[in-house]
Amino acid sequence: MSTALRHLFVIAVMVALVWTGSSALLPLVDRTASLTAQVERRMPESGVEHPLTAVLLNFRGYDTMLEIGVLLVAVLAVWTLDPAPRARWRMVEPSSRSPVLRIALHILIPTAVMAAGYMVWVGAYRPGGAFQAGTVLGAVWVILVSAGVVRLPLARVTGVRVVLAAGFTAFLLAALGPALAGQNLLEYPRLLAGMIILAVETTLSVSIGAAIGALVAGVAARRDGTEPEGGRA
Amino acid sequence: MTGLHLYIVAALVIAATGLYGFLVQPHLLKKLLALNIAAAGVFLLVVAFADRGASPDPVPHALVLTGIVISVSATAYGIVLAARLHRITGQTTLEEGDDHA
Repeated sequence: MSTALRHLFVIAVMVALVWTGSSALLPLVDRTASLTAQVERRMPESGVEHPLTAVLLNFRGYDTMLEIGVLLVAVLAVWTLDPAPRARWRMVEPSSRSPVLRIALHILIPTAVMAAGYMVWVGAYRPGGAFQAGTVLGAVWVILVSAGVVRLPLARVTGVRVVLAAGFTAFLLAALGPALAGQNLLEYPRLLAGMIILAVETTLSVSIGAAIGALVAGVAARRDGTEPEGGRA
Repeated sequence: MTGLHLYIVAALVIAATGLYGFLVQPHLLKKLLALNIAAAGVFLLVVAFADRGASPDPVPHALVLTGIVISVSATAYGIVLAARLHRITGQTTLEEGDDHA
């Protein structure tokens, strides 16, 4: 089949998809029920004041826990492609001598870390939480790698592995604790729910930041662990 | 047609566009980008359905947050795979006889 014909066929299939999807989904707008009322009713026993955080960390905590697991599996998958498994990472001076870069880093990095800490805390009252803070921490890693401050990716140092595993472990303990004490999985005791959620979220955000950093920094470019001159891998 | 209907149709169009790009583009990175666009369309669809009643339904929002993180993980893995393929074979597509260095 020629290329143009192939394109036209796929476009036709996509138009049919949009048509079928619209005719199936548009009538549902007036007919489906929402879960807002049920969530509002159970908010007092969730331990936080924001319904989205309550759903993420308490009512649907199982989904969030497995989501962290997916993130860790992605890091493992990226590390299996590492051609230089024994390379060690090190911090160096920025590759550019520009004073603007150095001053920007000195101001930006601590501010970003502080913003991440605030986001974890405010997640109980407003939009925020572990994932948002973890993404900011991951962005700190992206900045460091792009500025040339960190040479080589995060290698399999034990400390890095501990940080990566800490988030999932904390969540797993919070989930199994009630189960071992005779209640259901993830059924936080009502009075401790807020503190449990905050503790789990803090550990989670550091873990997610490290995971995103490991994913973005990727793996070494060469067998000896170095990177090619003049740019990123 | 209300605003909500427009969101649903737009979300479907975005998802279909992403899927079209994924099926048609030979370059691996463009395939990954197209998949991300399709994911954005699906997320928009789910979030549009959260707008019912007085205040938005938080459960679809939580599901979409989970979906975003998973799509980030899958994209990162896909990029590393594509970079490895390029470093080993010099190819940027999966077609035979491609010799983009």
